[in-house]
Amino acid sequence: MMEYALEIKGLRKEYKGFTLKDVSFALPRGTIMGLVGPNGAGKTTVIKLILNLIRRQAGGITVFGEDVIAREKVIKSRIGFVLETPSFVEDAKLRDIAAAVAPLYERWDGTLFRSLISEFGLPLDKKFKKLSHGMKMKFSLALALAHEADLLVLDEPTSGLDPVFRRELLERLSGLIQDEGKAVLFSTHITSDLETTADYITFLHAGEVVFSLPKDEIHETWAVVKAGPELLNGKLRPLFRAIRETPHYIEALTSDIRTLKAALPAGAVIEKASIEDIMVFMDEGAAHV
Amino acid sequence: MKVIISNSSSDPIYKQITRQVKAQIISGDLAEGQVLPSIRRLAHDLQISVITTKRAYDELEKEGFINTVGGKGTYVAVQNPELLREKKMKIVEEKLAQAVDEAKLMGIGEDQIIHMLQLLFQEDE
Amino acid sequence: MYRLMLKDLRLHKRFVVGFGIAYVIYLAIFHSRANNPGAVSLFGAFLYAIIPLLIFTREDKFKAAAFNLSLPVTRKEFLQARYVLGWLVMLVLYAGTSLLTIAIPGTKLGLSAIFQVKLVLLVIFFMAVVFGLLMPLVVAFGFAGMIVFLVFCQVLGILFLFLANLFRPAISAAIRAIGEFLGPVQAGLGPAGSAATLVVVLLLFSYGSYRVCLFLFERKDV
Repeated sequence: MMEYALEIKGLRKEYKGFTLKDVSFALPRGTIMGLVGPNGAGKTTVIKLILNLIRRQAGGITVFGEDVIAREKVIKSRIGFVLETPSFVEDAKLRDIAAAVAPLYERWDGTLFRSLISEFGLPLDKKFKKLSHGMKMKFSLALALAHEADLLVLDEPTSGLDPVFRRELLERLSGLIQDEGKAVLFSTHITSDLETTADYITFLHAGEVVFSLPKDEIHETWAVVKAGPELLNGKLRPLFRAIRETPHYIEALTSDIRTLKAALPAGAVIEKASIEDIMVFMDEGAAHV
Repeated sequence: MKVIISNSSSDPIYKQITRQVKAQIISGDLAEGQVLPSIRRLAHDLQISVITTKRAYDELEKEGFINTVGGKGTYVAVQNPELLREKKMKIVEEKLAQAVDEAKLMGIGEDQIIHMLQLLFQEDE
Repeated sequence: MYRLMLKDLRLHKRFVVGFGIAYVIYLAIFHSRANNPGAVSLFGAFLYAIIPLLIFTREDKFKAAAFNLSLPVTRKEFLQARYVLGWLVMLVLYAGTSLLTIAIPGTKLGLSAIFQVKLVLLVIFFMAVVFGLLMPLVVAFGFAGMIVFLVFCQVLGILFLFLANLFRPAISAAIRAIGEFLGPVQAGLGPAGSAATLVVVLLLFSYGSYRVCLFLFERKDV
């Protein structure tokens, strides 16, 4: 059995004002990976490349060991997707959309679909355009889940959703990978989504992968150090990924607190770096380093 | 098996799990041979990463508290009564060591500590 | 293939049925009052070809392209289904309008007028040309592309008219020359031969259009 549900190697995509460079990471089966980064980091680009919606300049993507371009149809029949802004023919009824899409999937399970619809409280006879954003998202999810996909690829599935549904969704995803053969990749810029169920986190910034690690390892190796201006001295400074100055102290982000610990000045405070901390630091702090 | 994890605790989550499971096994709340939830089940129930639960279970297995039988599940290991006693002693010893450290810091002498211990034991009777 | 066509039909049910029926009725009434079956039929042909294109470009409006192409289909299959569906829609519209035209009371065009072989072939040929020209434009530029092209045609038409007036004698001579060239060719081929040639040209043109579309479509970022 293929160990990885998704493997991306050296991916490159060039746009006029933005380039995705040398993106590599792997999603093992039976796990959930959060693809996180600020807006514009390239998350949607990566997902579009996985779904072969856009062309890459370099690199390779395989899903369950098969190339996404060469075996496009077979792979897509195993992928459940939710795109950023769910868009369908707006004036079609939900019922019609489902009827249109179902025959294209071999493993479509009508009973499962109907139970999801009733669980999500979706009115099948309403036109898609009449739904609220949250309902549109839920409908997209129902479609993605109804054909027993082995890999779920979700682009910002929680944006615009209330915390209650967000929690329910994450629980559902975690329930899904009770089946060790399945895997989930979801992108988000809402970092609190990841702090619970994600197993791996890949952090994208300005088109590059900053890290792709098991979530626990991030908490053990990344940290925020707070101290006086000694932190800025020649020897220490290059060891930090980003630095911020506040009126009372200097804050610095490090990706290797274990080795750094010994070199820190006395009185320095070390704190766990949350994903949000990392994201904020990398975005503004990078300029200072 | 009852595990309560705290996100705000300074202890890594896997350590919180191992500590609680160990305590329950030693106290007998978890009986020998009792089946434990799979790492995935536990991860889902606690809404944490499966990598974390795996790590906790790996450590528990290494220290001989649990056994994983491939394909069948995870069980509380048969505890060697002497080893068990040793583990129990170890936990109490750790707690006593903490108390001794505090006492030294605060200048409380050995005799006073022993007296305190006797009073505490008497309280239960 | 069928499933893809059905998908498009299901998704655009309302548009196809509502618009289609209105269209057919309007055209039939128009046809039935016309004196010249030829001109009216060609006009109809143009309109029949536009409908499938309108269906496909509706997708543009809703940005549903990304969704469609994330489904388990290859771009080739997707395009092929569109060509087949497009033709089916055009032919159904043509047949429907023709039959309705005959059925309308007081119609000036009877069965024989509508179903002359020559006219039918010409209509089909014209549909193929319009559809074949516009499909690559739609694939590459979407709805906007179609509109731009149509406006361009209008402008060209006006220009032509203007030029034709200026250079009437020269153009008349040119047309006569073409007629004089084609005449014997057509006579040589005979009615069956001409029809066959037309069909072959139509097929080649349609295939060419398909290949161009496929090239554009497979390279498009969605």
